[in-house]
Amino acid sequence: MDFVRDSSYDRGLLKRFVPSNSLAFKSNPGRAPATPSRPDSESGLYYRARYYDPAVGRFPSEDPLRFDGGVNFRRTNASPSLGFRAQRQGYYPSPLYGSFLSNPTPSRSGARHLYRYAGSNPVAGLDPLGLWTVSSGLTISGQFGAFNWQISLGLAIDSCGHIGTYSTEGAGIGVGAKASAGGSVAVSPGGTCICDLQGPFDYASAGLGEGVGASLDTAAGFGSNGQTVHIIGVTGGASFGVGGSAGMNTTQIHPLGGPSCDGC
Amino acid sequence: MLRLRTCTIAFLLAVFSAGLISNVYIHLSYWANMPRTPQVALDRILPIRVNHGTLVYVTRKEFDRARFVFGFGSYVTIGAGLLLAFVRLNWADPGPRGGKVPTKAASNR
Repeated sequence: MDFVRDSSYDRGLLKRFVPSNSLAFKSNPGRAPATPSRPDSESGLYYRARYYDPAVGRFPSEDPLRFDGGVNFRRTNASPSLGFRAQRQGYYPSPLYGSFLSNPTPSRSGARHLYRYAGSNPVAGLDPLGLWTVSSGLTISGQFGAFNWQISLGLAIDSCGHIGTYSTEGAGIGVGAKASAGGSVAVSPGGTCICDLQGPFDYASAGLGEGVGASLDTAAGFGSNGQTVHIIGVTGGASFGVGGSAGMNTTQIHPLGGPSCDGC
Repeated sequence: MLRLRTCTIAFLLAVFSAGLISNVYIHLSYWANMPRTPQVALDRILPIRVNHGTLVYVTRKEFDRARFVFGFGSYVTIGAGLLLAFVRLNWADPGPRGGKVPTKAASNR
């Protein structure tokens, strides 16, 4: 059996060797995966952070969270009974994949391997864990006339264990608020790695408050695999006026530790 | 004082905008133009991640340029942003040149 290196798997979490006869590979030779929150628009085989091969009912790559998501893989299922049923139906050792996907554990023992999520049935089941990135820090924004600017500094972590500092600067147009500053927390469900946050985003923000205020912030950019990286966050702190703004910002990530982004 | 404040704001805005635009330009231009695999013939062998994690290969000169913009340039931009916030909140607009702002009582006379 031939194993080939799929160049689209360079983003780390999909950095695996996949069988050349895999449907997932044939459908996506060198193609960028879609957003983790929905299937690949062309093949329908990409679920959150990994490809799925319906021919054998298995994922050709191991869970990028490894065992951090828990060893009971059935709990990632929308319906626990569905996961149990999937197990009973035996999505287990595949001679097609040889030892690469082999699962020596009997099916009814709660097999511990990294190639089965959502009961190996992502069509009917859900994989709510997926991958995510969280960032938290200080955000300052202000306005001169219609010109709005914002800067942010803080820490970002992801579900692969990467940690780093981030700095964001942005500019656009805005109305209302004179200035605001405060702590912010943001989640990026499409950011599979903190490195995915690095780059330009379109942002929009709306806030209110006089003295103490809060704002809701959102940003979107295209990730390394072609997926859209969304950032949704809130900022709370000092605010001077009601306002909204939209524009473009750019984020820099400075890794502090954890595994290399190549291994995410 | 008004002129000094205006000049300071204009300078900081120019620095901030230049840093932001150059940063975005490097990300997008490298992402669009640079190869995804090493090109030894073109000396594009240094890997760098741009535009949300895309790995591209660049020459030493292009690598240094990106590192400068992403590193030093980013700090300068952040610094300019912080100073803009300080100016906005702590350096009050003195009002129209000439000093006196017409009061309501004066304008009613």
